[in-house]
Amino acid sequence: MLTVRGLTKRYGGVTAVDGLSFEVRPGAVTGFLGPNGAGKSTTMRVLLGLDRPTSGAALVNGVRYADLPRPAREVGALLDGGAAHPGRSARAHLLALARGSGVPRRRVAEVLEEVGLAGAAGRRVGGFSLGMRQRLGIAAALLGDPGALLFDEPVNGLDMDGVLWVRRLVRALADEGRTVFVSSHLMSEMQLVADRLVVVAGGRLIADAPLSELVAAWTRSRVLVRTPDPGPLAERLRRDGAEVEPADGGLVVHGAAAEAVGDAAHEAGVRLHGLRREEASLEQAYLELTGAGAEYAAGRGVREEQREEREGK
Amino acid sequence: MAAQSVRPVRGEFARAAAMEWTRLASLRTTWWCVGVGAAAMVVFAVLMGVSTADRIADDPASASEFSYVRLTSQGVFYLLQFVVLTLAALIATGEYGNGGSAAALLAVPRRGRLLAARAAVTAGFAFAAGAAVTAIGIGALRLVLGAGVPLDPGYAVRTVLGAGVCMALFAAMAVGLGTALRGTAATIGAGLLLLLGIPMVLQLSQAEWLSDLAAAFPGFAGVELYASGDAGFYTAPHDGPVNAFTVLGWAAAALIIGYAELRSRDA
Repeated sequence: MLTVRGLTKRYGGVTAVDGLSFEVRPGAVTGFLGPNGAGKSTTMRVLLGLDRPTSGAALVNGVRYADLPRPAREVGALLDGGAAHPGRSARAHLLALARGSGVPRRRVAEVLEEVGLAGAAGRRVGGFSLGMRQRLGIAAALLGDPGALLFDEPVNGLDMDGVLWVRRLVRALADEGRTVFVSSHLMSEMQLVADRLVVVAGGRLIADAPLSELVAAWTRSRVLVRTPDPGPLAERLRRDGAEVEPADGGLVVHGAAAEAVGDAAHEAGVRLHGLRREEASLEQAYLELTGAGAEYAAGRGVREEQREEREGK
Repeated sequence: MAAQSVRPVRGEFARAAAMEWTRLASLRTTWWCVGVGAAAMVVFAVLMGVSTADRIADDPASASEFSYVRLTSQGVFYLLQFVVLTLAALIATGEYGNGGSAAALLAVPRRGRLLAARAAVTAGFAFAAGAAVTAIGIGALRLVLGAGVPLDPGYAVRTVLGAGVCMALFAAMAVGLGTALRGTAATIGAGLLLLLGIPMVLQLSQAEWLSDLAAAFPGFAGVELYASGDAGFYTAPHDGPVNAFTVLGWAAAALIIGYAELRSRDA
């Protein structure tokens, strides 16, 4: 069980996390979704006692990480980009951590086997591929056989095999009754692994709900109409309660099925040249909800174009 | 979530120290440093021994002026202490930037305990390596010079132990500095200034009080300690325990600063 309560973290003048509150429960995969820079890694680092909160609290099983008597037995973590000293072998890296956290040394061979690194145990980490480093990080997280796991962007840099392996592992860990908290900036990835989503943007909570609820709420369809007489049709559709926007060569209709739009056109005696249902993707909805990043990118694009114009290009 | 069989809890500090020892011993750099230190000391001893042997062959009376302690201490001062500084700086700072420092803090979240364990393990290793390399240096000198130049075993033991203690304290100081500065280059730079640069400059000055102040720096207080006052190139205003306390004070101060930084900063 992870508890984040009114968490705020500032680095100098930059607010990375702004009044964030949520809980992560056992027995499910909870996705932590948000664009890069949304405060996901910071929240995880505070949960693990690496960074100090400016205010609020982030607790593991109701306790600050540093106050856990046997932290490795209660929570394991894979941090973004976190691996090991390049000069040390995978086995020595894990053995040191096992000794420090009071985990029996036989666990080292077990977790190396579990993540598929048994054959590379004696090799120095500096020669590992990105995928092998991620596996080593996951091995370190599993070392104490903990009841809670935090994975920060676990599929980053993995090939397809690795991605599938992480998805299966995450699911299996949750099915064993553990608390599993996985961050990602990809909605599509979260859709495949998460039971529940905590969505953040700009350090604030956007949503905290079961995945199915978010999918239902965020998936929207619209109907594109091509017609030479948009006026009467729009009026008719609005009367039926649909939302209508004018578009190039016709209308965009929200809140009405394509069939209903066709029938309405027929009854109003309006000519139709085209009628098409369009599904807005979940990814699209997510991008709009966490729009700060997208707006920034678009705004910058416009400014750059203006500057180029001023400079006489 | 199979419950782990709860083994009798070894001391928390012992666990942290076991981790630090594994981290230290599993890096090739550690053993390279020891090897380089030993090789440098042997080469130094052979060079100095051969030239001394030549001088004694020309003037047999000069044999009585020869001091094993002085020559060995100069080897420690000019060579060994910098190898120890480099090693300890690497141990303290080598994991910033590759995630290793976060991994260590996850295993041992109490920062004071982690730093204490790291300092103790590094210092213990530096004691053993420093004493061994110093003994090797004395042995090499003795082999080159032969039985004609007598070696006082009591003085030799004092030099070996003194160098071991001094290297241990310098290692602890470097761990403290490295924890505060978080960079290998900055740590070695600061260490060089404290061990050699600043006291050398003070010695260059004509003012006696500035010159005496050099003994307040760890490198010069240290050489007085392991050379038992016979450093050959420098005489501190005071002999004896004051030099030991000076070195100890520097190590303690550096560790306190390192601890304050480690505690207050985000990892």
